[in-house]
Amino acid sequence: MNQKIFLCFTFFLILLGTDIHAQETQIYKGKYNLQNVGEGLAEYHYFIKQKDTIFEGEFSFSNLVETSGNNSFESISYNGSYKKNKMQGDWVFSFKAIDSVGKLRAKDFDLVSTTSGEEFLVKGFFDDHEQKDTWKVIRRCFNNSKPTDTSLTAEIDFGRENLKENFSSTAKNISVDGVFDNNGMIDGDWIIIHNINNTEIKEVRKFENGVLTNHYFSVNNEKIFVDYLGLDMSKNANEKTWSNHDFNELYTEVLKIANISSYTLDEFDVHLDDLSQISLDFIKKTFLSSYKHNDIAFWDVVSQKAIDVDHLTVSLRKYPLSIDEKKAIKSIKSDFVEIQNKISKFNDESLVEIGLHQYETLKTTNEIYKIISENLVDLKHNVDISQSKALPYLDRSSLDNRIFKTIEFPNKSRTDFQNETLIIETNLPSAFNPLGFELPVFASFISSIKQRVTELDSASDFILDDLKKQSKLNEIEDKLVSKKDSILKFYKANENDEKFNKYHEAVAFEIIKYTKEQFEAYASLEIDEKKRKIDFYLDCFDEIISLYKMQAELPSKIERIKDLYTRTVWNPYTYTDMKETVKERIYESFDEILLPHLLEKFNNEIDCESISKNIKNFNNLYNRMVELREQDTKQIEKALKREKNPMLIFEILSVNYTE
Amino acid sequence: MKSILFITLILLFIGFTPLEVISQEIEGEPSRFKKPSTYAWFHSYGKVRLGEKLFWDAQTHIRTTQYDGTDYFGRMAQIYNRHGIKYLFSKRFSATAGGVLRLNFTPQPDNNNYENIVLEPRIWHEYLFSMPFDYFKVFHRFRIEHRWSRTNLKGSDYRYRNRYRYKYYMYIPINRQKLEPGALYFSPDVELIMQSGKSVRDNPIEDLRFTPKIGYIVNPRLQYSLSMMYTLGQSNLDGARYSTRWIFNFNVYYSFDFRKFENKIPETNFMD
Repeated sequence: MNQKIFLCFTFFLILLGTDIHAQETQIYKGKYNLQNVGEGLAEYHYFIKQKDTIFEGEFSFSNLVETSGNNSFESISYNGSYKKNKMQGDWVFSFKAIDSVGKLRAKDFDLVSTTSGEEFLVKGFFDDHEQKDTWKVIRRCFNNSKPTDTSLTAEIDFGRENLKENFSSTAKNISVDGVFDNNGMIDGDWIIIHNINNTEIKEVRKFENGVLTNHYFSVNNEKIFVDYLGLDMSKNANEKTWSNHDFNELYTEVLKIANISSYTLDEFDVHLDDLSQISLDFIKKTFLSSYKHNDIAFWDVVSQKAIDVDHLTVSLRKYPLSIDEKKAIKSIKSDFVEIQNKISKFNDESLVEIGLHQYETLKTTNEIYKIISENLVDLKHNVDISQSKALPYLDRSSLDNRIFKTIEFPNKSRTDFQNETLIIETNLPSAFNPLGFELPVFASFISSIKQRVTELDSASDFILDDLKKQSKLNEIEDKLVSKKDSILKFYKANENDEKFNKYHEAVAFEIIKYTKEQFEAYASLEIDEKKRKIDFYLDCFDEIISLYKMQAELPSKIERIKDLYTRTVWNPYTYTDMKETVKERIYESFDEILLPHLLEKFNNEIDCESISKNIKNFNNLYNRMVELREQDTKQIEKALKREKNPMLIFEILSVNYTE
Repeated sequence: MKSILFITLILLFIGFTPLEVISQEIEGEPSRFKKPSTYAWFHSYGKVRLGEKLFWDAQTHIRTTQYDGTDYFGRMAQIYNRHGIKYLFSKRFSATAGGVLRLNFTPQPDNNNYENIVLEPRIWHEYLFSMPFDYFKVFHRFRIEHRWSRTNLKGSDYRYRNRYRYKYYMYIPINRQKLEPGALYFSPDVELIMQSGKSVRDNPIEDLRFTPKIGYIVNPRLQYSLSMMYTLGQSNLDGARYSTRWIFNFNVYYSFDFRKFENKIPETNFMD
């Protein structure tokens, strides 16, 4: 009996042993690569399950990267533990910017040294991969490897259900204390203490379920309230239009635009809205730093599955944009960009300075642009708000000149021009009054300015082009002379010119004669006529040069068509390779009718318009012949039977021909 | 060019010189020449390209002869089907082998002692050498045939003979620089046909043919030729007797390419 019990016990132990062996943890120590962090040294416990590495037990990682040559380094380290791949227990993330390194000394087999710099440290506790207990964020300096000044401390208390309960943070000139409601929303009084010149200024932001209901500063036992325009501060009505948001850039932008307080603490020379902005930024950045550093969500780097981070959450009411408002926002943006571009293009044009004294249009444009430019800062302020993503969270109908700037343009302007007083009709929209603000009205105001700027731009462009041409006439004339010389050189029979062929020879005399005539005709023009017509002569000479190039390629192109329409067939009787023409009617139409027809035109029609037309016709014919070789042309060949009329052949071959 | 023409003219001159002139010096029984008979031959030559090097050689000949006072076209003489497979070793040499089935029509259609049609089968193989020159081509053709033939006389026996044929011919373009579509050409052609076999005794020279042809190349796949051929050969019964013939000859030469399109692209010739 005892023997049987012993055997059963042994068998049980064997089975148990096998199971333990399957889950046995191993330790890795060595190089390890963390995504978004880089390579470092790690030591961790793990086991293998179905070929996957499962982290189980302690984990540590650290790396060191030299950022510049002067003993500057960055170091990232993690210390924590896992339970079956889930983060469990205390975790520490540390980022050190090491500015200097002390002298190296030997310790055992290592070389070590003291360091100085700044450390950013986050300590947190995870339970089954969720944030729990108290979290700490610390930013401190260290000297000779010992912590010295602490520039920031923050604590976030997490209670049950992964929800925040309290938040407190202290920095050199500011400290914040706040609580959260049962849903994790900002709630109750958030007390911010600003330390200015060793005097404490208390700021209170009251929240109810994430909604900012009241905001004031307490100075010398006096409450100075911060006013917001267009921001709903009570969650009594329209609950459907409320939504939860992270305490992020959008939220701070909404408060910034809506804040209309302009109170100044004279004894400290500080604006209250500036302090408001400082406290908003401080809360946002401090909370964010518990899970993000240098834009990297640092816990995600070591979590084997994403952590559901509990963000700082507020509530905002949305006033949806109507279709007209959306259209207005779009047009304001594009119109304003166009206004700025056209004005800056005009101002950057060096010829304006000379032209101002010569042309009334330029003077008028300059004066009106000056008026617009004087108001450009205010216009941009209004445009920026209209383009802000915060706008849908503000009641537009209640916005007024405390948020938007009033803009006024004069109807007339007076200036001096050629020793006389010039009265200019600005034709700008008279004014924009933000009282009873409506986006489409502002869009229409901007559009009217753009329209006027476009008119002025087009009128001044015409004059500026003329001025440019005048200033560049000599330069352009040099080009004309150079082109003329090239043509004369090209068509003068030259033994060394390998490109010169019979096609050039056939037209050389007429081309040289025509080119000389054209150049003489240009030279005899008045200066204004020259400015107006020089482009025509340049184009004309370009066409003649194109003709030369085309004629140079003509033999090879004709040969290519011949090759395309020829195939080689072995004659088994004469034992010779024989060439035969394929698509004979098409090729013969090209070779015997169309090509001679076009060559005749090249020879006889020597004028710019005809040269351009004939080159195009030849190129179209050439390209069509290449296309037709690959196509089924039975019908075309049938239609070509006994056809000798070149015009009809062009039509049959579907060549784009211009008479 | 000139030397080749000269040689050709000499050969033609020798060919047309009556054999009596040559045999005057020889002792023994003098040669006798029968009065020339007349024939008309209409031949079609087909070459069907089956592959890069392979051709099907297909020839059909219809031949008529004098009869009952009508020269050349008096009666049907033979219908001739020659087929073979040609292998092109290079552009200068090819070899062909195949079979022939010739239908010999009776020489006396009204005579009941003769069978109207007698079959004559042959096996043939030939070796063709081509010599390209700048402006013309020269060919040497060696053909060997193994034939079983008999006369149309009822009850006559088949007799087996071998034929050894050598043919020299040229293609000389007339109106063009080279042989190409549209070219008229002159083709001097001389063929000697020798024979052997049990029944061959004093008549080893079966036929000597002189064929000056004029031809026209319509395109690489079609050409025609026309000629008046003169032949002479030893008679079966008496080697001293020579049969002579004048043969009007019209030939059509055609070729097809049965290969897929992509295989028809000619090889690049680096030598020319």
